[in-house]
Amino acid sequence: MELINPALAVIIISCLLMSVVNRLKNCLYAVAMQGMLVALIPPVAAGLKPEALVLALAALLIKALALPHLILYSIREIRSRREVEPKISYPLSIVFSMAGLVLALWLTSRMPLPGGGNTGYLMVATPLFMLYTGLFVMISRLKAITMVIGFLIFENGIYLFSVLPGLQGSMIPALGLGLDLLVGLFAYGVARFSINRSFDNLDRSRLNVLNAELEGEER
Amino acid sequence: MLIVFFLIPALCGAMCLFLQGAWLRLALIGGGSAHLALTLTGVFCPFPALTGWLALDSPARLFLLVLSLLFLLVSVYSRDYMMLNSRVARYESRYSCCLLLMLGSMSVVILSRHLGLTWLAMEGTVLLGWPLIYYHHTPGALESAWKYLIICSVGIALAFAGNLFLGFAFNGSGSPLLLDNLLQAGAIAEPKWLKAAYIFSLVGYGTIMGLAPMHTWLPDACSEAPSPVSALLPALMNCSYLVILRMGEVCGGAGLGAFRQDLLMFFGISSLIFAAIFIIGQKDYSRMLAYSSTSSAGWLMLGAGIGPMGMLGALLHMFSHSMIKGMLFMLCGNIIAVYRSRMVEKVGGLLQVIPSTGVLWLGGFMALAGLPPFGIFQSNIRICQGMVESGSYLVLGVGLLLSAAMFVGMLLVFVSMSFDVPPPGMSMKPGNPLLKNLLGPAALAGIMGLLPGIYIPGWLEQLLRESAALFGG
Repeated sequence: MELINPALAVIIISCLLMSVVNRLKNCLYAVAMQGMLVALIPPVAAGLKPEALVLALAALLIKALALPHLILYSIREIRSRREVEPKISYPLSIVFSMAGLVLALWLTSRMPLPGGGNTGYLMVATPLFMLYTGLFVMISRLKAITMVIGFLIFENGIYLFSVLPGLQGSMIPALGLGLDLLVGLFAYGVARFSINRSFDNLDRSRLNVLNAELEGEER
Repeated sequence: MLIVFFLIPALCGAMCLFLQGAWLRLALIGGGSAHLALTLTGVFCPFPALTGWLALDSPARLFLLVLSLLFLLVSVYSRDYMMLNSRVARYESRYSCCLLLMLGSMSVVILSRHLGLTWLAMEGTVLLGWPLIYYHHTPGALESAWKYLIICSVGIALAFAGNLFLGFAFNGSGSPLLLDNLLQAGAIAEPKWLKAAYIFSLVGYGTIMGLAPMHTWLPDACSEAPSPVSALLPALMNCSYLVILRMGEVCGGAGLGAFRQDLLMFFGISSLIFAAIFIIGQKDYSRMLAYSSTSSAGWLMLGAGIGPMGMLGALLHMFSHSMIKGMLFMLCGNIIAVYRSRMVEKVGGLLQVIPSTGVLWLGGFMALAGLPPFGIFQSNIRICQGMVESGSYLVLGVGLLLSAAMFVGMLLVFVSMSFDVPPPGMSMKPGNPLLKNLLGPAALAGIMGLLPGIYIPGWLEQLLRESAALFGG
């Protein structure tokens, strides 16, 4: 716990920073750092068992290296402006983030901790807050690529949940890495189809069309 | 043994990548026919299950039957649809492959007794839907496909979180996601985590089912995807519905039946409200059909939330609605082929210009509106009867009121399209033989949607009752 709680605190701070960071690259660095911590926490918490180490190595490669690089490649490929372009102002974003943190802490206080006394309070509150932050980033930013970053935060939160006591030894944590496939697909889609803007309303036919530059299938 | 339900379509799908022209279409129809033959064998003489991960219980037989019938009709329809739309026929191999793989993965969702495998198969199904929705390669299709992928992926991720919470709730019950274990271990479940699991699963799979307010991908996907793909989307909705019902079974087994019912009612009513709001004044007829799907999803939820009679009605609704909606989306393909527009204002005089399509189109409206003698009428009567029996008068009143609003919204569209003066130069189209061929599968789907309202065979009645007894408790 001496190592885990500070790491979880860093993840929470990085989630809070998501609401104020205005450069895409900085967002990406924060997510890569989150990915690294999320990958390393489980083997530290559960002891250095071989299967936990293999899973941690796979998660580290995917979450901290491969996906951030793929997203960075997509940002370069679409030659997007470097700003995050929020739909909600930064001060309001901070308010929403703080509210999300309070909500996550409150919900955790009402839930029995999986694995009884072996699980720290922050081990449940942090992934819950990551789920909230991921969804918030997805809906509160204008660019399609920030939607991908939001999904990655969301998915990192789910991964952190999947390695809590109670599920260890099952195939569930490994299945969770399957969600990374979706993140990779999104990032590839953004680069491949030059998708720059996200959709922002319920009804596409009445509102905006993505800034897609289709140049035929063979492009 | 049951894995053949996945292997045969997957094999045919892989073959499609190397075939062209008539052989390609034969592989698609052959895959669908083989799947239907397997399903009928499974319905009448159950397969032995090799492991506990796949099983052919009554609900699985019922849902497989709907999937298989609809897929075969769609594959036959696709043959002439592709000939009619030769502009995009160069992607046909990929299209047929994805369609068949989707059939295989949806079969796994239906047969699976392990919620982890179910989730994985559902993720595969969602991913395979993406190239199908993007089939026309237009900016609109790209936006719809992107929206579909993002929203359904969030749904998939939420459903995965639901699985995790289920694991926390049943900590110590052996394999934590095997349905048989979960049903046996209901008494030891931790209720708070189980409630969280159910909420996340309901929202996650409900997103893929098109429940409001997570339905926003559905109208776009239906309006941009090729008509056969739109016609197959009810099968995707059914798969999600089955998983929600199975999760509900786990909740019921752990004594959380009332909690489950409240949530089902909430999502049922919210779907009806959103559908009624968006359908009134709708200018795009394929989007109108999509909102009607959201409304049907609402009725399915309401039926599942009010006991065995409502559940029986909901399952009948699922069967009839899938067939009727399949027919209407196939007819959309015919209308678009003639009028070259999805806008209601640009389509008029269907009964004069393409009379056979017009008659089926009006019949489809009557079926969707729940008029007798169609199957949806029978199913809605049973759901309403269930509501009366359970004393849910307020829900019944609100449901009927919103359905009346839906009826008015759809009536305006269908009447305008069928009886208005045709656009200039459209007074009478010479019969295109391909267009006539397209009518066959659509009409068959319509007949299958009509039949449950007139006569339900004994074996189907038994399947419906057994499934309702399982999920409606």
